[in-house]
Amino acid sequence: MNRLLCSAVILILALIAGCATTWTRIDDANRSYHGEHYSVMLPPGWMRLESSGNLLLSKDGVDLQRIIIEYHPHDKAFEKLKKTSSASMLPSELAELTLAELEASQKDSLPSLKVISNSPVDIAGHTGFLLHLSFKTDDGLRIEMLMQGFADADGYYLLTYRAPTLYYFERDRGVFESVCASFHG
Amino acid sequence: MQGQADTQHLTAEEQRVWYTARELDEQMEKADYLYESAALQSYIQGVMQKLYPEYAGTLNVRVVDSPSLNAFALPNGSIYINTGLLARLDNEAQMATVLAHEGVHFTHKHSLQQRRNIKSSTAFSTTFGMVTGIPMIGDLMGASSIYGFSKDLEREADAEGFQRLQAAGYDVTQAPVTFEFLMAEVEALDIDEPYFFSTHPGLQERIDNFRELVKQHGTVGGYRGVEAYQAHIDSLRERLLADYLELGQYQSVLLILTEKDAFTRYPPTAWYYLGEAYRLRDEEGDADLAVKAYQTAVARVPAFAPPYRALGLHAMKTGQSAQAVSWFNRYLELAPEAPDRAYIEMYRSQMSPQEINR
Repeated sequence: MNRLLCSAVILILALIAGCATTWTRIDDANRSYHGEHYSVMLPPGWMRLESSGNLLLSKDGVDLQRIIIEYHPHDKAFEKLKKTSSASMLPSELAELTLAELEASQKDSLPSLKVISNSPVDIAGHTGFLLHLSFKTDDGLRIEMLMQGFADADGYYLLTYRAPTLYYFERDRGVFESVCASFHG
Repeated sequence: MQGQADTQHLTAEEQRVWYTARELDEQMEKADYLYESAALQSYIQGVMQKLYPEYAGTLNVRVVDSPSLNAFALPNGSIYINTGLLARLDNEAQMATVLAHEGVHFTHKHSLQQRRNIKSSTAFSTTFGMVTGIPMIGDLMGASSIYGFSKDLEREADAEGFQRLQAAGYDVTQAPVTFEFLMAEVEALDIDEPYFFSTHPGLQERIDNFRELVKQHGTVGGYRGVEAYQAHIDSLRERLLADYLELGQYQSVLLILTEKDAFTRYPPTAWYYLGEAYRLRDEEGDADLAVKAYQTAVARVPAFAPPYRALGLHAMKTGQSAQAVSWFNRYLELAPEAPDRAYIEMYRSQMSPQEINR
C-alpha cells in the first residue's frame, strides 16, 4: 500500500473513529447538508460519512471513488508542515502548501505524483485553487485527484475527489464539480 | 555467483526470499519509483562493477527517485540508491562507500541471516519486512539497510565494504566522511526518519567503524572522482532543491545552501531556491533575504524565469504594483508555457492601472 493510499485510509479511519455515525445513504430528503462551517448539496445515491464537520462521500466504495470535504481553522490548516493559512493568502500560495501538505503526509515523496494542472478557480464566491494530480499505486494503478480549496476569514476549506483513471475518474468527475458548485463557506 | 536466472542451487528458503525480492523489483518499476537516466545508471553500475567485478550481472544498481537520504540492498542482488543521497554526496569515492557496504549485505546473505535471527527471537516485533529481511514496498522508501541490519552484520558490511573500496583503488578516507555528513544532516534537521532500528546510533557506529578502519588499514591517496561524479550528478542537485521545497522541507535547502562553498557545488540557479526557502521559513528578516537571493539569481542567470515570478509576487504583496507587473511580464516572456500562467495573468489583471501608475 503506498503512502497516499495509507494516508487516505488513516483519514477514513479517523472519520470513522471520530464519529459514532455509520454510512448514510444520500437521498432527496437529506442531500442538503448544513454544517457549522459550510453548506453543500450532496449527490443522491451516494453514501456519506461525517466526522467533526468533515464529510466523506462515495458511491461504489472509497477505493473506486471518494469525495472528501474538509474545514480547518487557520491555525490547523497545514499541520504536517506546521504552517497556518490566512484569508489574505494568494490562491497559488494555498495550492503550494496544499500540495506540500499532501506530500508531507507521506513518509516520503511519491515519485509518481504529477501535477497535471494548477489554476485559479471560483468557489463559494472566493478565488481559490484547482489542482489536478495523478499518481500510481504500488500495483501500477493510475489514480487521479482533483483538489479545490480556498481560505476565508473563518478558515481553510478543501474539497478532494479521487478515483482510478480507468473508467471511474471521468465518470464521476461531474458529480464532484456539482458538489463544488453548490459549496458555500 | 548467483545470476538472476540461476537460482536452482538455492535452498527453498533462499528461493522464497529471492522471488519476493524480484516481486519488489517489479513493483518498484510498476509504481514509477525509479529515476530513469541511462547515463547515470550506467555510471553507477560501472562503479559497482569496479567494486564487485566477479558479481557482474548479479549486483544491479537502480536509482530511486526520492529526495530522502537512503540506500538499501535486496537479497537478489538489487541495490537501490536514492537520488537524494546521490545529490548530497561529494564524489565517487563516497558513493562507492555506500555501494560497497550495500553489496556486502547481498554477498554475505545478510537478509537470510537476519530472517533466521529474527525468527528465532521473540524479543523483536514481527513486521513482514523484519521477518523476511525484505521491506514491503510501502516501507522501501523509508527502509535502509545502511541502518537496517544487526550490529554485527553492519560491522561486517563496513569491514568487507572497506576492503572492496581499497581494492578498487578508491580514497578510503572518504568512507567516514560519507556518514559524517549524513550524521550532520540528521542532527541539524532533527530528522526522525523511519529507518529500521535507528538513525543516530547506527550512523555513529558507521563513522566510528570507518575511522578505525582508515586508521588501521588506510593508505594515502586513492581515487576520489570529484569531476566524474559532478558531471553525472549535477542535474540531480538542482532537482533535489526543487523536491525539498515541494515537500515543504525548506530547512534542508537552507542547510545545504548556507554550507561553506555550497555555490561551488550548486548551480547559480540555486539562489532562487535559497530565496524560496527563506520565503517559506518566513521568520523575521527572511523576506529581505529572499528578495536578495532572487535578485542574485536574476543577476547570475538572467534567462532563468522563476525568480522573476517570485520577485513579482513579493512586489505585489508589498504594494509595488508597477514593479510587480514588470516582473510578471518578464516571467511570462521567459516562460510562456509556465504551469502557473493562469495565476500570474490573474494577479496581473487584478492590479488596477491607477495602482500600476502610482
